[in-house]
Amino acid sequence: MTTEAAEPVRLHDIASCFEGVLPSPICTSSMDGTPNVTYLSIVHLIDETHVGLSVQFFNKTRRNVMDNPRAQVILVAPDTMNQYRLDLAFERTEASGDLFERVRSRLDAVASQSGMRDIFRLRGVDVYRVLGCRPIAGTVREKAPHDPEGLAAIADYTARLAACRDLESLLTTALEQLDAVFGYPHTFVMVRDETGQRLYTLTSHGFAASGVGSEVVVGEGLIGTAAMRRTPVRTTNLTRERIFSKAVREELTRTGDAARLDHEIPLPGLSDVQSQLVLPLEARGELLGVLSLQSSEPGRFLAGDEARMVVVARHLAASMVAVGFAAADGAVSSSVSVPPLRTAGDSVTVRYYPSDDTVFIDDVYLVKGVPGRIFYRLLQIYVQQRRQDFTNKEIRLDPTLKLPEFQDNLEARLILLRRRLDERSDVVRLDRVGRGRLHLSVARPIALKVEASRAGNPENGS
Amino acid sequence: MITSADVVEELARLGGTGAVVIVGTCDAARVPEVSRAWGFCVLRAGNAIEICVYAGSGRRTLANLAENARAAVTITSQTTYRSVQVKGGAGVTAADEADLRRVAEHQRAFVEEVAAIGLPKEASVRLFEDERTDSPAMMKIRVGLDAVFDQTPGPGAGARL
Repeated sequence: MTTEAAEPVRLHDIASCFEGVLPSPICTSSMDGTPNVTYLSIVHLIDETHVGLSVQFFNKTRRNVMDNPRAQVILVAPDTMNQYRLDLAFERTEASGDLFERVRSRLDAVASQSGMRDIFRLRGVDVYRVLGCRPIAGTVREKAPHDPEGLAAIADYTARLAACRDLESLLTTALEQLDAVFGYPHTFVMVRDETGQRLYTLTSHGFAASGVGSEVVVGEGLIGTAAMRRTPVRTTNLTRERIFSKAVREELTRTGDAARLDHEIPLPGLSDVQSQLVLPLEARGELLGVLSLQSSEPGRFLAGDEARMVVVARHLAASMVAVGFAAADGAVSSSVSVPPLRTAGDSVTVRYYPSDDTVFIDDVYLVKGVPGRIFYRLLQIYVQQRRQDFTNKEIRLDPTLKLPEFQDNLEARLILLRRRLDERSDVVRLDRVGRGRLHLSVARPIALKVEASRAGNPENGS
Repeated sequence: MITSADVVEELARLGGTGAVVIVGTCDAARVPEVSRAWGFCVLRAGNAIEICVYAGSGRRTLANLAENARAAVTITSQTTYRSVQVKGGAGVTAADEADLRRVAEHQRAFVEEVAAIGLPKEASVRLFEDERTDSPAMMKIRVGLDAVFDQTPGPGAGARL
């Protein structure tokens, strides 16, 4: 049993309290002795004797501590539900530097996701000295030993990646093993498109719908912010964030200030996502994409998960480059037999929109961008020459495709194209059949049609 | 101070839910203390609210009120974040049977609402069970509606109602 008179608690022993899973009540007092109580979304742990509170508005709490520096917050540990009172004294405000940037990344990511970048702008981080930390009451429950097998798990994981020889098997293995080794069942990898402005989902694991091909804009939302800032972004309770942002939206609408709101950004993946961890995939100083982990459980990804996954993401990015991502041709070394498809039945129409390289098979949207351009070109050759076998090299050198001479990411485009065909068409299939070789299988007669223009987002109608 | 009927009605409505309630006090040296509170209700006269705190975990809150009889109470809906803060002169008495029944009803509703937003019931119960185990006695705090503020998150938080 531990009570208020017990030994002071070390902040690093209660690190889960600083994850923002549950809000923290805070009390301050004005100079005339009138108290003020409100909530903080998160208290940031700086070191054993300091915490940080974000400053977004000049509210009563802030005005109070400028006059009377004392404050008290209640922290709740989400893993044990132990509660602690933290006695604080305001020391200073930081408006730049590492701490400021760390807090700003998280705030911007959440604000961007909910369309409120203009509302929630970090003005500074108030740094408080911790005068005391006491459990509120009751038996302080011990949490489970923290990650005793962490390094062993990383060693196991990296060994499995080391056995992969091409990008597709590497990414598939990477996500399967995040589930098997670390217990993260819902994961996806997004990579940068040819413009560098968007990320698209290349592969996923554990979702009812794969989401392959779904896109986010670099700089927008949790994922886009992690990519732009090249920093991990972690959220621990998205339901609470959504309720919070809905309350703010309603308040701004009520006061006629709704023009300051941006649109909300849909988050790919789980419909009931509560926790999300997004890690940049960086190698040789370049951003390749992001690794995203999701859970429907609040507080699923804590600081320890982030630390492990930062190592994993760096290794995965280096492995992607090693198998040819962003540069060379990552192809399989052994031949694969492909079951033939018979061409019979009514013809299908493949419609191609050159303005953005969008392709539909009959009325079903397939893909757009470079993968769409490649697909249409392969079908042109198939229709004109009845040729079904292609090489990565000829695709790369085909002047009509206008692929970049350096870092064309062809392998990633082909993975996306193959997966979209698997999901959306039973008429056309594209298989890898050897080192840098592809085989196009067509089950029904094909009619090609080039369209002038198209209205709307193809994903909406698919 | 007379508080508008709408505000009183809003407080009563929030008090009938599983909203989160916190109470802030400070001692004569303006050192603050915050506690969770339960059994929020608005007096029929509409001029004060009442809450209960556990005597053990809330002992500094109660001691502060003996030194400086002013309290701030914030009540927040867990499902909408609608939030109202009451500030006023405060007095302490022992909680009676009716107060304890109201506390039990509030805690039941609180657990249900927390579950609706994703936290397991067995976890949210801990937010009051440990304090109750430590010291089951409760004290009632009556706070006058001297000032009432809209505390709903956003740039307008803190506006006087």
